[in-house]
Amino acid sequence: MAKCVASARARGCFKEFVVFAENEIEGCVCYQVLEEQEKGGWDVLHYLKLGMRQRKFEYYIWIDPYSYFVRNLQGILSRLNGSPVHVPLLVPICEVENMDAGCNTSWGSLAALMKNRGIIDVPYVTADSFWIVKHEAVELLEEYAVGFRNDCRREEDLDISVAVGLGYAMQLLCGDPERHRLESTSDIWANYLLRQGNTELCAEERLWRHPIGGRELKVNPAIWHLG
Amino acid sequence: MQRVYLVGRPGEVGGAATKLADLIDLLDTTIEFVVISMPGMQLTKKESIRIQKAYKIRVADWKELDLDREAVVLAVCEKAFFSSGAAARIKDRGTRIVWSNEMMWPFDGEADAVNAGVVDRVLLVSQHQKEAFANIYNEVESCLTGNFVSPERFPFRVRENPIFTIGRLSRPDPDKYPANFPVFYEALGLTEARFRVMAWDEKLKKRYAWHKFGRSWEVLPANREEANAFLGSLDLFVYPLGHKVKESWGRAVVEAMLTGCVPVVPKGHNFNNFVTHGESGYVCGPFEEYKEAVLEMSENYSSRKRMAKQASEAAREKICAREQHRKIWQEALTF
Repeated sequence: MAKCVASARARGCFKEFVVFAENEIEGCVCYQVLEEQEKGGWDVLHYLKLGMRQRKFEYYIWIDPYSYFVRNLQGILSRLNGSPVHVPLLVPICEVENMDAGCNTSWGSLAALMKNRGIIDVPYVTADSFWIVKHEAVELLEEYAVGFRNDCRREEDLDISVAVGLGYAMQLLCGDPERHRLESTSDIWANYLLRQGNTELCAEERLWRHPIGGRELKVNPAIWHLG
Repeated sequence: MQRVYLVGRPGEVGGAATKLADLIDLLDTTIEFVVISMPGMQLTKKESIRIQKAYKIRVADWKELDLDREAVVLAVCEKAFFSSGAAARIKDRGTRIVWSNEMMWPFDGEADAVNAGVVDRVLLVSQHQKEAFANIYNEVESCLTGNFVSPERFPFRVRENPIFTIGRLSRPDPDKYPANFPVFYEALGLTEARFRVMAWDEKLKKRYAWHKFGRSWEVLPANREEANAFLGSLDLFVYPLGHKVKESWGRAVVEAMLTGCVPVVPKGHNFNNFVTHGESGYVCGPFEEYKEAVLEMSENYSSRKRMAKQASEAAREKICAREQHRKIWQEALTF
């Protein structure tokens, strides 16, 4: 996290980083981390609500510690176009529907569950390492994400990850999903770098493809997720 | 004339109420309706007078009536009809009960009453509704009546709005609205537009508290404007729905079409039975299809004018054809 924050500061990003940690981290406003309460990464929603109570802002950007800034984030909130949430939509599930979604089911089956619960567009694979939510929408985001998780448990005996839950909630709450696809937001954030030698990360265009498959894209994000 | 006893409240507001008002008008030369007031669904004196005056029909307390095996009672969308014991009381007299639910879910006591043989005939508005009630009504005589909307209540009007206007009319039920409702409208890509919505209430205001409704929005409480006037102010009726809701029929869409408001509605409901995509409106799946339809209508006035006329004619001549509905209802109420 300290390296992430240092890279942000080096690129002129001086927004507040609020971190839940066991020890103090340089450059961040730190609060004590709790013992892990839930599997599948679902603790993020607890931490978000705790963070909201401690520091009130209009928007919150959740960022994984293994992230690296190569540019400052400029005008990011205007890119939401009124949507109360942004979670990057990475790969259309129809391109990877037979692939394992990691909870004893395929992506295709998860897509069918999403479409039965209100997703009118092609459902997408999403990640939970970078997302944005408006303060007033946090409760709704949790309601939809956790609601979907509970439905999957109860009806299909599936334990989905928070990435899937957030992706579902995002695709319900956003306006035009086109604006949230990686193709449209590749200047902001990207993950799973296709390694091309040992060159140091910097602000330049590189090839991207999700590990489970799907199309290749050229991306040049301000933030790389290195996980 | 045949006499039919009615459990329900005809009126000018609400789907079931207006359905009854239109039905009384449709069948006024062939059926004498008598509205029943009974325990669990008592009409106040004010309501009784209103109904008698507006529809020129009698309102009677059920104790005064000679209900017998020859009588037919039509009950429409009264939530307490079964749970209050009213249906059982009527059935005890041997009277035949014709029941129309209007919704996509059973009311309290409905399934038990059906099992006990209380309902002689069920009226269903659509194949969608029939499927939703298949488990309850599989052994009860049924009739697919659809819905009659009186065309005279919704005359066609030519729109010449200085600013392109889209909107919707429905009860203020948050479940009827998609999670992203305001940004859905705003993301359609219209450079200048007015958004009008009726009805809106505190529950909806709370649900969408995350959104800043700018000057292009006008959200109205229920009945602030007459339905006809409100629909007449819209160029397009853009009606995305919440994912928990399945419309049983879609009266508001047909009312909009009658006035010449072009419908832009979701797939997966009953709408494709009366909206012909690309001719009398649009039935859309993904968001991109809504966007294309709305932008085409906003940018092409002659297309919009033509489609408005086509929507109105389709509603008037096919969906709301009086003679056709008269025959259906005559059959539905005759044993």
